[in-house]
Amino acid sequence: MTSATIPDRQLPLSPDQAEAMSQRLIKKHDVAIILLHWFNAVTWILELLTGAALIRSEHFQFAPQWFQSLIVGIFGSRANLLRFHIALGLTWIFVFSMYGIFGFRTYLRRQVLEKEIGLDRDDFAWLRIRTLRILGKSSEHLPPQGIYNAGQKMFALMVYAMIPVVMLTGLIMAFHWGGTVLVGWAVVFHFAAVAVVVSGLMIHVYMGAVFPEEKPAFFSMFTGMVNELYAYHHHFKWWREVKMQEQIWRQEVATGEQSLPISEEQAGPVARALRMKDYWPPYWAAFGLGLTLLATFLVMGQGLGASGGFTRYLVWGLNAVAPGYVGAHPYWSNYVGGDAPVLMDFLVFELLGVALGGFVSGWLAGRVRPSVDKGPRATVRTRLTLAFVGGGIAGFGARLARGCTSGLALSGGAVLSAGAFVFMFAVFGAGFAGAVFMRRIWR
Amino acid sequence: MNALFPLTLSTGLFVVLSIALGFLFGFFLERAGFGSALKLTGQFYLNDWSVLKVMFGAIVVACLGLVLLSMMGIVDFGMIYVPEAYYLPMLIGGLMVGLGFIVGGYCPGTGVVAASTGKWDGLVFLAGIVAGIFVFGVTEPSFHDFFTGNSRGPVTLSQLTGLPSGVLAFLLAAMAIGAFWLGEKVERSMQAKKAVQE
Repeated sequence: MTSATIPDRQLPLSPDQAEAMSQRLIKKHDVAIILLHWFNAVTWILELLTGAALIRSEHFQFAPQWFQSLIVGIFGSRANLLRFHIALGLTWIFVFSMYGIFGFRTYLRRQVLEKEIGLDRDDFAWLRIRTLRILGKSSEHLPPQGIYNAGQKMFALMVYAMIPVVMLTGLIMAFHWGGTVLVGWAVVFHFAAVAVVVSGLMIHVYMGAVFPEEKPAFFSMFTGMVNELYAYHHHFKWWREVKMQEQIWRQEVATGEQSLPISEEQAGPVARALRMKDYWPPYWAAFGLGLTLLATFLVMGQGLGASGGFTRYLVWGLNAVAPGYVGAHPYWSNYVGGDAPVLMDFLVFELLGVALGGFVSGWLAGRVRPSVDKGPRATVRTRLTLAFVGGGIAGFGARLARGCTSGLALSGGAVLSAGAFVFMFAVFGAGFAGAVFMRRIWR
Repeated sequence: MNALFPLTLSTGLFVVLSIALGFLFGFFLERAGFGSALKLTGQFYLNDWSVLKVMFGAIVVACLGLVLLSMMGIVDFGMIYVPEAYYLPMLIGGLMVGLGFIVGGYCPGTGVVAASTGKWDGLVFLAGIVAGIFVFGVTEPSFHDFFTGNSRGPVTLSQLTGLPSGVLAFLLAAMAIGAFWLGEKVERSMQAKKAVQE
């Protein structure tokens, strides 16, 4: 094919074309990905070997006695073996966290969410046809795939689902968090998650190191490059993206013009949802918020909140400048003087998280910018004044009610507290009543 | 009972998890568009029922989850915090929070989200909250008896009605669905009205 026309579906190639393509290389993996992959591989091999030797209980034991003795012998004692297993596990968690935190935009978002686990229609068709072909029940052609085919994406999905389980249960087991029952269950889930990954790993290793057609993919995990012919046949949609990028680059070089990047058409549903510019449908947010609220109850024994956190920040500030006043005051003194410092409270840290979470969500959707929300007929000055006044009334009322819409209505409502429902009716009642007078500000 | 939850946590884990849970809270609030006073107040002009949908929906999801997990013995409901019922302070406080909502445009949680996405009015609202809390604290001794008196204890609707929590949870879910359906109808009719006017 000429450089001017890039086919939009796989066409048969002439022997010369195929030969030419097999000589050209395109970049499949960043150095960062290659390093992470091999770090992961080495870590898993070592953790599997040491982990197998550590399992001694008659329920779960599977490594033969000579193997256990051999491995324990290398480390001197079971205690040392366990320490090594934990230390390596912590290192693994740390490295992944660094990738996740510092490489969020390039690594987590682009690489993982879009390339590695986003399933599109071609992927589902591929899974169906591939399975039928293995069973000998179809000779249909496989639909074109992106940089990773659907089978690889399923593996990635499974691994990404299991890795947090392995990490979390490993931490619980290593540090005995949460008491006997939790640790006991963590052991079960740790083994189960590892078993799931190992079953996938066996296919992964076979495909990479043994299966002849995937040899270019195996070598790409060292060099980062694959030849074009392989990409054309096995990952056509990615080959096409690369070719179009090249074409655009060539045009830019020729004309000196900058053009827009190709929009990524095949982003999976998770990536699309996170990057959505519009607000989510309220039922999605309701579901997410409900689960978060539930999780908070499970972990903390209490629900979410806000006004209580503000109170503590205020008291902390007052205490810093006038401790005598605070200590003697009948209301403020409730928050100081106990065995825990005033800021050691769930809501204090939760509010920090709220700010962070709100920012990240807004930033992902491109909604972070300095602005003032108001109706068309209001001035900024009026709006800001009323914001302060409204905040004052809300703050006072929240303390009077011992909670606000999150602390009392949401969390109290979830546990069916009678006071919470009284509060909620009052909030909505006052809101509707006040709306009549506030028309000029909002509409 | 040998329930798994709630957990007992070490300090470091407590801080990390608190921030993480708050992160999810703020994330979902912003995703719903609750960092915008215009969207929030739309509820009180009946053209945008997101506030009701998200609040009521979240309450129902969490309530059903708690009831289910409690029945399975995974959660010890006795160790979950239930707010005490101070009916009159909660009624008056609720009126004030509602008023503050329509006047100021936010509530404490959404105000944080607004401020974190660059809204000056959100930031000013938060300053107002702190001022309001300060005024409350300073004046509280003068109505201390009203504020602290007459707690009916951690009364739940289950105790009031005599119905088991599971039944109430499902009733709540049914009411929520009814409210959502009503909200959709009103939203559509408001939209149609607006289209006619333009």
